[in-house]
Amino acid sequence: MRAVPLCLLVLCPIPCWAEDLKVLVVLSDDSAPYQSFASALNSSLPAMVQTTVLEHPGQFSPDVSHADLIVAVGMKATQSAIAQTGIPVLAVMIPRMGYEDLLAQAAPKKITHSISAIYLNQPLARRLDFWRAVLPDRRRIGLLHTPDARIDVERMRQDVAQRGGSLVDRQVLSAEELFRGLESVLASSDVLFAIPDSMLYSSSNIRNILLASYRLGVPLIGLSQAYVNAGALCAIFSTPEQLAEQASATVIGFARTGKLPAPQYPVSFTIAVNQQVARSLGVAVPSQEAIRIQMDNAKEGRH
Amino acid sequence: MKQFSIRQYVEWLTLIPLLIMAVGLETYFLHGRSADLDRDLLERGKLIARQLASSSEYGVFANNRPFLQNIAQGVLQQPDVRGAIILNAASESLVEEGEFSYATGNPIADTGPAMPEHPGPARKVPAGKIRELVNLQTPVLSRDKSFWVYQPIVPVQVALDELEVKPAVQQVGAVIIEMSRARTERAKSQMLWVTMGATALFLMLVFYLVFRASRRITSPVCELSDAVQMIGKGRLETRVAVSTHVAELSTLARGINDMAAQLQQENAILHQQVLEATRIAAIAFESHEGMMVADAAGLIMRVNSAFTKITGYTEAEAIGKSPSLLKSGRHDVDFYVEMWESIESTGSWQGEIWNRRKNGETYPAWLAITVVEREDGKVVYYVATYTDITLRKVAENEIKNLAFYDALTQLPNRRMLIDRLSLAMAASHRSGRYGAVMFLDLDNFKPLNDKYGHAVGDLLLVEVAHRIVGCVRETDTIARFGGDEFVVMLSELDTEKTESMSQAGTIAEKIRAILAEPYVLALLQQENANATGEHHCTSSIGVVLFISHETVPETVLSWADMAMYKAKRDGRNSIRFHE
Repeated sequence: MRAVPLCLLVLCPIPCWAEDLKVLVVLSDDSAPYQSFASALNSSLPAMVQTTVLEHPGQFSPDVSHADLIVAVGMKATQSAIAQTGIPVLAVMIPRMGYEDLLAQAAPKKITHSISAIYLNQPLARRLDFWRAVLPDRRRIGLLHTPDARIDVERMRQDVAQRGGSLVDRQVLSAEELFRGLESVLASSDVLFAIPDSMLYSSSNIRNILLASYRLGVPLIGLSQAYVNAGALCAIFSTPEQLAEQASATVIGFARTGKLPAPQYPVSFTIAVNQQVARSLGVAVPSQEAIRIQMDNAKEGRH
Repeated sequence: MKQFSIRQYVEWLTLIPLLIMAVGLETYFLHGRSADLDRDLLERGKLIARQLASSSEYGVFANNRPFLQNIAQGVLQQPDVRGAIILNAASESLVEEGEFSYATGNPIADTGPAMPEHPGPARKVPAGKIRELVNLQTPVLSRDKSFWVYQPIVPVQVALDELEVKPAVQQVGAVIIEMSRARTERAKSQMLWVTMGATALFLMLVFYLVFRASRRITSPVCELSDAVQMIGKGRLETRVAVSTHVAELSTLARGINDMAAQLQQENAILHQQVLEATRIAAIAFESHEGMMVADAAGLIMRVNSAFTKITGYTEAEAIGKSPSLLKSGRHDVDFYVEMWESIESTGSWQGEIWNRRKNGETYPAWLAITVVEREDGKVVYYVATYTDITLRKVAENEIKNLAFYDALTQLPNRRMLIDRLSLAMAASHRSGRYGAVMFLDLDNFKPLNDKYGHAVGDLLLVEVAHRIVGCVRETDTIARFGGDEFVVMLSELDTEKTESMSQAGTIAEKIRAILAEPYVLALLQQENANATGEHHCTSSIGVVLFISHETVPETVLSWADMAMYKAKRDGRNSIRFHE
């Protein structure tokens, strides 16, 4: 799952600026996903847009850059970009919760410039649709969460119920409680539903979570390709390239209108399934096409 | 200085470096292998701890003790692992499997001494001590027989692309394992024995080979050495036959053989020369001269046969005696002192000496004594040569007689008479007694001589001399003056002239009378050997007295001659006094 780019143009009535739109792309760091995003964005933007890439937010200096738009990639870059004044910011590859936290932090100061975002995470509805499409027979969704996750459990319970399932949730207050929580959740659920919660779903814990779930025959629906690689049954996410495409469109829109749209979820997404895990758990996973069709149908049906 | 044989040198020079090398290599090998074994064990311990930690992760996460026990027991199946402890994040012991030992000198171990007596729960106490001893700061604790490895349990990191949110990795527990060194120590000692055995075998083989090789190298040298020693002892016939490939040794052997041969040859020549010299000396020693060899003390060592012939003493009788054996007693002490002084100062002496034979007879000898000295001047021998000069003495007397005596009658001749006359004249002067000289001439001698020849004449003269000798005292002198003239000198007559004349006249008359008696002469020269002839022959005597030496003897004689002529004139066969 990746965030969304954005676009915008400063100016008002004078369309000639669009010809010379200067975009400053600020990366949180030089990690591979950000790099992929930067290069994909670069290549998808038209020639009239001049892009400059800063690979580290420390290099960022708003006074020097006479950019028309800043594309902040990742949390750190977004934090730096918000702090400056004047230039519109499009935050990409950032979780919705993180984006909202940053805005809340910056709230006391008056933000004069426009800010928008393309989130990294998938909308909950899409993920639930995905669950229903992949594992139609596993109705009891297990959910572990910490207070930090600020998840609206009741809302989610309704959403799950709406799709014909039930939610088994358990709040974990500390890492030490994790196993007991996991045990109790797994004991009464058919599928474990991962959420962006860095305290639970961390590099250190994921293996044990996966092991525990595997031992109890409960598949995990992950949040990225990495989850699938680590042993999750499946995941739905957006690649940096998909996010770059969305960001490119937003930048072009900004160039045309001079305005940034409201923060948005990724449009395109990717489905990944670990067939080995599926076989081990004895789960028959539908083909990707079938899943997508099922998801589209579910979406259509709700509307 | 201690001496070593060449063989010992060769052996030690070969063996000592080999020994040092073998021991050095073995020490190096053992040390290296021992260190390798220790390191391997440690690495294995670490690896086992890591594996245990890794596999314990989920068990610790799930607090699943049976699971953990299971894997801990699995670990204990591995060789050298004695015990395993799995701790959780709070360092609480989840599993303790196996046994834990504590080396003495571990101060903590002292507080739990009786642990082995309490199996089960009691074992947890020492395990607790270990937990205190081994930790993240001290991951490896080593004691004599065991060591402990501490390995933290860290969750396996699975990257989730959580981009910014990367919390620090937290330790969720730890494992401690005890590894026993017993097996490694056994392996080490086994290795030690095996390598020592191999080294010993190797060294024995080398010893044997060196022994063989050194014998091959040194035995010719030993043979040569023995040969040289034999030659040195005088066994010149010794030869060496050395079969060796070493050129120098062959050369040496040939050289020794040549040398021995040369020595033998020279020795033979020398021996021959000595024999020759000895033979010559022996021949020389057995000469006609009597020879005697005495030692430094003067005792007789050797005499020759001539010595025996001269002295009458055999070799057996002479040896060991002093030469004073031969002393005649004719020489006084001074003679011998002088002789020894000469020997000591000049090294030799020669001269006449009177010796005594065994039969008591004394005889004159010509004695030559020579000293034989050593190089340092010390007297070793005295060599004495004797020549019996009895015969020479006789010859000497004969010559003397020829000068002073008449050869026919053995009476003093004219010279001696004159000599004695002058002595008698001097004596008569001293004593005051008269002496007398009678001049006597045979009558009718010439016809006899002519008739029968000189030989008969000589017989007559001898008879005449004999008759005269019978008429006078021993102190008186009778001389033949040649021809048929005799002179009788009477000394020490009387102080009175008349009396003296009377005495002289008496004697003269006695002589005249006896000479006038007939002579029976054997006529030997005639064909008739037994023919004898009677001859009558008278004499004319002239007498003169003398008392002093105022006149010379010749004058006295001429007076007597004159008186004799007077008697002749007066008719022969008569006596006349000089007036």
